[in-house]
Formats: sequence, C-alpha cells, structure tokens
Amino acid sequence: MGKLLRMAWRNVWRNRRRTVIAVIAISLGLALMLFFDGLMGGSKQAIYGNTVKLQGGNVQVHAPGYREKAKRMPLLPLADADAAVEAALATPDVIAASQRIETGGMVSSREGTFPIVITGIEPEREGTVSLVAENVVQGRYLEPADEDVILIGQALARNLEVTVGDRISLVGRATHEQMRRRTMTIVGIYDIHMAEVEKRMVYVSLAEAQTLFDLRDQATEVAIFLEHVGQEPPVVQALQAALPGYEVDAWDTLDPTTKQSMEMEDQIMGIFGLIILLIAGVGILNLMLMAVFERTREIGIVAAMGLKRQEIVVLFLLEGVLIGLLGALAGGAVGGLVNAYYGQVGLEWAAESAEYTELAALLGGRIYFHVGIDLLIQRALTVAIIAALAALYPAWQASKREPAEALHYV
Amino acid sequence: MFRLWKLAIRDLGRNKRRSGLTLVAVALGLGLLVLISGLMEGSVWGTIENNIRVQSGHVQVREESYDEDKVSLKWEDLLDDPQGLVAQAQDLPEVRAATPVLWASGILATGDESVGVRVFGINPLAEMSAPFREGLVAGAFLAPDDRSGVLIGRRLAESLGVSAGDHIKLLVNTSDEQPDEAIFTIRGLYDTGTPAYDEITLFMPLSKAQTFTRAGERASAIVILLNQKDDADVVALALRASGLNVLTWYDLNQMILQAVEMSMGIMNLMYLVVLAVVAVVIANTLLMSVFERTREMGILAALGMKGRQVLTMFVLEAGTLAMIGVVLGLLLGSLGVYYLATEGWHLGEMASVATAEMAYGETIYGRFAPAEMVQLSLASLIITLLASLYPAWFAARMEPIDALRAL
Repeated sequence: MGKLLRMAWRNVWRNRRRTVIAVIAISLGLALMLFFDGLMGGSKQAIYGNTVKLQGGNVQVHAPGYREKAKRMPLLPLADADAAVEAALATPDVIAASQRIETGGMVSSREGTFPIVITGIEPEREGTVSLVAENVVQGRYLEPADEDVILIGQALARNLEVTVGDRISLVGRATHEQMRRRTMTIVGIYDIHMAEVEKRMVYVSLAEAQTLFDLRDQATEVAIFLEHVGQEPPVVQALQAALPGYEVDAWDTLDPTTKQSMEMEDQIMGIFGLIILLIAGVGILNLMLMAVFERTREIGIVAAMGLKRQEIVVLFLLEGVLIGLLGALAGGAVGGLVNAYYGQVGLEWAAESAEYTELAALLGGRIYFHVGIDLLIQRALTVAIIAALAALYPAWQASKREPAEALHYV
Repeated sequence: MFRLWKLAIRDLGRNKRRSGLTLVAVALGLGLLVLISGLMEGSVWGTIENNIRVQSGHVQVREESYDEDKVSLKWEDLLDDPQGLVAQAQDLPEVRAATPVLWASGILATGDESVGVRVFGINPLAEMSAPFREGLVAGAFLAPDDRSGVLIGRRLAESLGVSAGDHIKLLVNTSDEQPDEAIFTIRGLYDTGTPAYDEITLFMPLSKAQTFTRAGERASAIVILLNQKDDADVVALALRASGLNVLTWYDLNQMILQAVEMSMGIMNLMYLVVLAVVAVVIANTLLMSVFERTREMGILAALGMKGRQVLTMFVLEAGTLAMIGVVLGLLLGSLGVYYLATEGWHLGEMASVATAEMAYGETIYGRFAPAEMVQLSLASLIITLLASLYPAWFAARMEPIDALRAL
C-alpha cells in the first residue's frame, strides 16, 4: 500500500499540466459552490436575523400559560425577570437579553385610530442589537429614564399626520383587561422601510410601560438575542434547565409562519445546491475519465511489469483521491477566503434603489456572506469523493484488459 | 466554414462519452435555471391572482383623497354615489362584476382578548365575496340584510378561542371622530387559503357596515372584476373622471411586483454562479481535449490549416455542444416546469405542521416564463462560447513541429 501511495503521488506530479488542470477545475467548482452557499447563508441570516430582531429576539422567556395565548399578547408577568436575564446572559452565544412588556392597543390622533402593538423595552440593553434603534430618522431613540414619551414608526406617523414633539393618545390593555388611556409625546420616529411593521410597532421605556399597565417592577417577556439564526436549540435547552417554571421558546415555535417560509426557502436552496453539485460533479467525472483513459497504454506497461489487477485499481483510485484532495483543499481555501472577504465587506447585490421593499429592507444594501465550517468541509469532502470515484471506473476498465492489448491502445 | 463545422461535428462524435457528459452539464445547468424561473414566475403570479381574487379585484375606483393606509371613513374621502359608478362599470362589456365595498379598521374583543382587525363590508351576494362563500368552513354564510352577523377567518377564531355562534365585541373607527362599539354574532368561519389575510379580515354585510360606521350610502371603493385581466387599462380609462382615483390590479399589487424586482438581483447572482460552474466544466473538457489531440493539431497545421481555422473549429465544436445542450436543457427544464404547473409544489408536506394548518397546504404552481427562457438560453450559449475561446486559442497557437513531436 505504501509503495502504491508513493507511486500514485509520483504519478500525480509526473504530468503536471494534467494535474494542474484537474485541480483547478475541481477547486473552481468547489469555490463557486461555496460562493453560492455563502450568498444564500448570508441572505438567510440577514432576512431572518432582522425578522427575529423585530419580533423580539431569537429566544424568548415567558411566564407559564403564555404559549397557549401567544397571538393575543397576554400580560402575564414573569415571577423574576431579573433572574431570567441573568441566566440568559450566562448562556453561551447570547449577545443581549432584555426585559419587555408587550401588549396590544390603539393609537389615535385627529386623523384616525389605528391598532398597534405597544412594547416596553430596556433601551440600554436592547439599543445595541435593535434594528429600530439603528434606524431612527427623526428625534432620538428611547432612554432608560424616559417618561411620557413614545417612539413610533414612519408609516404610522404619516397616517397620524404627526411628527416629533406632537402628542398622541394611546389606549392599551393593562392587566385584568382594563383599558388604559394616556397621552404621550413623540420622541422619535424610526424608518425601517417596512410599512407594515412601522404601522404596528410602537415603543416606550419599560418603566413607562410598568406604570401604564400596573406592572410595578415586572416584565412579561425576556427577549434574548443571539449572534446567528440557527443557534437557538442549545440555548433554549440550557435556559429551560436553568429556568424551570418558565416557558422558554425559540422564535420559530412562536412564529410558525416565518419558520415555514424559511424551511421552504431552505428546501428550494437545497435542491439548487444539489444540482450545482451535480453539474460540478459531471465536470469532474468527465475530466478524470479523460485523464485515466489517456493512460491506458501506461496501464498496460505496469501490468506487463507484474502489477496485479487490484493493485492497478488501487493505484488509480489513490491518484484520484490525491487529486480530489488537492482540489478540495485549494477550492476550500479559495471559497473560504472569498466567503471571509464578503463576510466582512459584504457584496452589493442591487444598485441603489429609490424604492424599498420589505425584502430589500431586511437584506440591507449588502449581503454579508455566511457559511458554516461544517458545510464547507462537507462540500469539500463530497467533491474529493466524486473525483476519487470518477477515477475508479476507467482504472477498473483498463485493468481488465490484457496487458498486450492495453499496450496497443492508442 | 462548413467544412470546419463538419470536422467539428466529427470530432464530437469521436469521443461520445466526453461530449455526452459535457452535454449533461450544460443541460442540467440550463434546466435548473429554467425550472427556477418557472417556479418564481408561478409563485409571483399565483400570489397576485390570489390577491386579486380575495381583496384587490382587477380595477378599483376610489375617491381621489382616499388614503388606503388610513382606512379613512370621513365623508369627503368616500364615494358619494357608489351605485351610479357600479351601473356605469357594469355597462362596460369587459366587466364581469362590480360591487361597492367599505373598509374600516377595528378591534375585535371576546371575553378577555382583543385583536386588531380590518372590517370588510361587502354585499354577501356580490361576486367579490365568492372566496368567502366558497371558503366557508363552519357555520352559515351571511344574508345581505343580516344586521348582527359577521364572518371571521378560521385561524383568527382558533387563536381567539371562539367559534360560530359566539358573540364578539367590535370597536371600529367611524365617519365621526369617535369610534363606536357593538356586539356581533359570529355566523360562520371562512378560509380563503391566504393565512395572512384571513387572520385580520372580518367580513360584514355592506349595509350594516355603512350604518355602523355612519357612512350612509357611501363606499370606500368600487371593486371591479374583469373577464380578462389584460383589459384593466381599457376599463380604467373608461371610468376615469375628475375627483376619482382609478387603480388597476397592477397598481394595487405594486408591493408584490416590486418585491419581485428586488429579488431578481439575487436571482441573477445565482444564475451567474450556475452558469460559471457550467463554463468551468466546458473550458476544462475542451482544454483536455486540446491536449489529448495535440498531435492531431500538428498534423492539421502541417497540412496547411491556419491558426484561425483551428480556432474556429474549436469554437464551432463548443458551439455545437452548447446548442444541443441548450435544447436538452430547455426540454429538461420545461418538463420540470410542466410538472410543477400541473402537480404543483405542495407546501402542505412541509414538516412539523399539523393537518389543522392546511391553509399552508396551498400549492405553488409553476408557470412558463418564455422571455426568461430565451434570455437564459442565450446566456448559456454565450458563456459556453466564451469558455471555449481559451482552449481554442491555445490550440491555434501551437507550432506544427512541436505539436507533432508531442507525446
């Protein structure tokens, strides 16, 4: 075996040109595939990452009984929200955790009355991960000590015909289902280019919400933010263990619609990726077939010199493995570098567009590539295996010939 | 030229496996792109048609000052004479049905829960209410003179924990500044197969909606359904009058159309990746075959074939491969689209969703996108030809003597 491996290695470099072409082809195919994976992974992270941010974090902790009524935003205070935040922050992969109070309500001005979701937040804890905080276009974001002020969306401001400094009246559902009316000053307006969200979501400080809804020093939800979408399961598991008696949920169990659309996209992209792999595979197969058939004569010579049939097959298989590994290494390196680069700098995917749509707003102007190391390795191995298997068939064919016959093959 | 082409074809036939595998690569690539474009086209038009069916209609007539976002019910924002406009629309031969509708926004409250809804006031007998009639899953449909009954979506009812026959409290904005509140009975539940829409829409007879919101005989809009979607512009033109805002399904579905345009940016990137993989495969195959045939090149050159002719021959080889590959790819992709168009993509099979969630059991149907198919075919052809240039140039550059000595 050692002898065969040495021979295979020598053979690989004997015909440098052929090897170089094969390695370039394999690595280009792999690099392109990784480019595709990174592009998809990056846009998925952006779209769902931002959706998750808007919906209150990757993982949420609620009081028991919430799950059943999630759609109706019940005001169920957590027994000890501070402890839940502490526990969350102590869990790996968590980048932020904050208390919230969320309830439904109405907002009105002279222009009309609109249904909204009122969220009391801890600006100092959420500010760093909040999409809304990044996109305040008028006035300012909330501050912890804020009282009697509210942050609303651009589209809602347009509908209400109000601007920063104006007062609007807010009706919210407090505990025990009483309605509370309160007039507040608009301190800031955010614009995330998603009219539907802007119309619905208004924000006040947690302290303000606590007084408004009779929840002194309490909160109804702990929102936990993670670095990447997809890291949720271990965090949920760890937190559920640390916080018995609470309901700990990943965003996808609370929002099956978004989960559905993500799964569907994954499915389509999976098929897409598979076919790209297939095309690259056919290319590699073709190349290896040609490279080995070209050498039928050579096979005749080694056979005439006494190499056994299995040994010949193994020799060529080893060559295929070596070339495949070289290509996988080179392609993995190139693809990894490309991904690292676009992961940092981002790829501008559409010209500056005047009209924003929801998708564009979620994606931002640039896509920051994201590909897991496990996917990278998996792709590289698949490519290497295809190359090795592609070498097997012609080697087996050639080894079956009588040495004399193979020698005469042109 | 013709002679070179004959040579090229003969060369392709000489190594059938190599040519065949290259063809497979081209065909798979193009087939994939055609399939994806068909899926995109189908889901976009499916969404738009669904939207036309359940809410927007083909043409809408509104008062100029009406602002959809505000769901205004002020008298000056509403149509004063909806019946006159309906009659005018129905006189047009292209129009299948025209009906006044009234929209209001409200809060629906049960015993201890409340949720924001959109009130859709429409005559239950009108054609536009067919999706609700056909989508009725529990209870009974509304009669036009029902003064206390409403329909809500099945999903909304489930999340509120109510069913047909239950009473609900409804608070709506009105033509006055003050909102008004009343108790209604849920007559039935519907499911139009559009979850996002069903969850927020409450269906009420037009006449009740008008009195409840104090709009009198006024309406928010006239919704018009046509026999032919393409006649929208003609009908819109005929109904245009001062003070009125006439919108076609195209205007009313701007959001969807814009979203499609934006996602094309990403789609094009993906197309490029696939085409690039195909190009790598082609370039490689040809390059290998050039090396394999180095001696042959030398003989051809020695026989007097010029470098330019050698180059042409290789490009022709690639071109022939590409053309056959494109035809195969179109066939392959069309088969896929045809399957999607007839069988559809059943989202209902998606994991983790119970059968109760059959609203997601909606199916995306594929649809042929001829313009895209032509573009993609041309792109495949051009990229294949470009990829063949380097190997061809390499072959053309060889010195006859060196080439003969090779191997």
